[in-house]
Amino acid sequence: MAVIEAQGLRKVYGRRVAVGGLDLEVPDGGGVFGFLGPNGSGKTTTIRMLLGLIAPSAGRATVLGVTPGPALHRVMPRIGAIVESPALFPAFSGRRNLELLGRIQGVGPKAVEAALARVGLADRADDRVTKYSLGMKQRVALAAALIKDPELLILDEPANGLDPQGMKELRDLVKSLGAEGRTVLVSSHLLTEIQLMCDRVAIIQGGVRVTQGTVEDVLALGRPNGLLARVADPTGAIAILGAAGVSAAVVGGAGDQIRVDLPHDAGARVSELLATSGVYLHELVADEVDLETVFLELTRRGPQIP
Amino acid sequence: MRFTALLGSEVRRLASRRAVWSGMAAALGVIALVVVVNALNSTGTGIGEHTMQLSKLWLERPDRGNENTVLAMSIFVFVILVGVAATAVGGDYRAGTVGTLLLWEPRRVRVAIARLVALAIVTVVMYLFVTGVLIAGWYAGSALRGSTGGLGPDFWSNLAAVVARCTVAAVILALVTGGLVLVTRSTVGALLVWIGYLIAVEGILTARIPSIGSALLLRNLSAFLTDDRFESARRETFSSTGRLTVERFVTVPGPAFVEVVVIALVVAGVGTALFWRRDVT
Repeated sequence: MAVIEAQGLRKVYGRRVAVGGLDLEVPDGGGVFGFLGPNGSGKTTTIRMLLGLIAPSAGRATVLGVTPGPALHRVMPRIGAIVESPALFPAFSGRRNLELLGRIQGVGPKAVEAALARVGLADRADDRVTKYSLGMKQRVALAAALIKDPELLILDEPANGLDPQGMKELRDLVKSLGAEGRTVLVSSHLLTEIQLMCDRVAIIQGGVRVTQGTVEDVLALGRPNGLLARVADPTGAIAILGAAGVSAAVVGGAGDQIRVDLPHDAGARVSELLATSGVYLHELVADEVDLETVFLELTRRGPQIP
Repeated sequence: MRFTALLGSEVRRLASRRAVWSGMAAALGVIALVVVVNALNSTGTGIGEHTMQLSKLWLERPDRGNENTVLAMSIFVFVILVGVAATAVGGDYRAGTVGTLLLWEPRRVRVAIARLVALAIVTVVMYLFVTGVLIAGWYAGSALRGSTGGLGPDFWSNLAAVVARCTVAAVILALVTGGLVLVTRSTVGALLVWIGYLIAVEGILTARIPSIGSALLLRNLSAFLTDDRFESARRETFSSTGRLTVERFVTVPGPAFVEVVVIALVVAGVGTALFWRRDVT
């Protein structure tokens, strides 16, 4: 069973289509699910629809088996969420914010303390929220999502405002939450972070799904892996490799680097082919296809099925 | 999720707002000023014109219209309470925390009702505290610098009754304001609607069409507060023979109370319905 399921989910504001018939399936069983898309692609609107904050214009969705809306209250205690920028009660401290929210569902101070400690904010918990940096507000919002001890977490751009250390802590935290058997849906434009923390991803553009699958499946949609070689005579090297049936091309602005279309474990063969013809490598590295590359290619090309 | 838990959270949140404490401080400041100035200006312990008298807290008929400290100060407190209610409820829209709450309790009608009930509770506590300070201060001033004599036999029970009516009026005004904030989704918007209503409807429109006066909020509230028949408007016409005809539109306390309650419920209901239906972005 999917913890989140959407079929033809659509949201229209006047003439503007924010989400244009999205199909999405976030499987059960824990793990971290990346929800990617360019700015304005409909990620936040989709999340708001899933959480019942806005009503869809068409289509249907379920979250933990319940259609978003008033019935969502039956499963809301099992869902922790951050939507867009952290919206906290500004007049209160971080701790007071969590206590007031927790009180609604009978969450006690112990859970508040545990959540604050888990997001690394225990020592500043009594400061007023207005004195917090964006990163600290993000941590309070994350703590608010955690104090319910949820089985599903929906985190919309949780890394916003975090410094590099904070991002690493967030990544570790999200991965650990997924490893605990919780399902974590993370929307982000930080593709490197998503690649490092997610098991599965969905990429959307213009409010429709471009692709969805495991990170490996989605990466396979990009160009095949290759090798990057730096040589003194790129033209000669390309000719030597071509004679051996290996395709290569000059890449990069400096003109001394070629991309060889061979898998990463073929470095020795490239080295041998060139060396036997008197061309020596200055550098040979793997040209890895990352999520960012695939993302840019897919969002340019349109929907793909892995 | 129990409604009482949601209500408890809302009351605590509302009561902790700076607007509530600022409003309370402003009201207490003015009350202190009024009491101190009256006490200092008091000329003695007799029942003279310039003597600070306990009886002036709430004068019995037929002098009620002359000096009526509790009612006069209450009207000032009402203005503050309307501002507090608008700021307290509108603050969530300004801070973007409306959605935050809905991530905990998605049943919006419950949330809106809890918020309005919390507003009513905080309003009652604020009004009673401020008025309690006024009565205590006035009593002390009258005892020390004026007169506590000349009270009618039912003075204290009548005073309690007017305080109770003012408390109900404060709640009604808070609910109307809270409902307006739910409609406009903004503190300023709600206050502008209030001001616009007072000027355009209670002022200009009633002057042109006096008969609608008896159906309006403030005129009914006046009849309810004074517990007296209130001439909400009058129309003077001259016949072709030059004879003056005066038509009086009178509001009476009982129906006036029902009418203000209905008005408050309608505004709060419209606000709740819109809160239920609208997207939270």
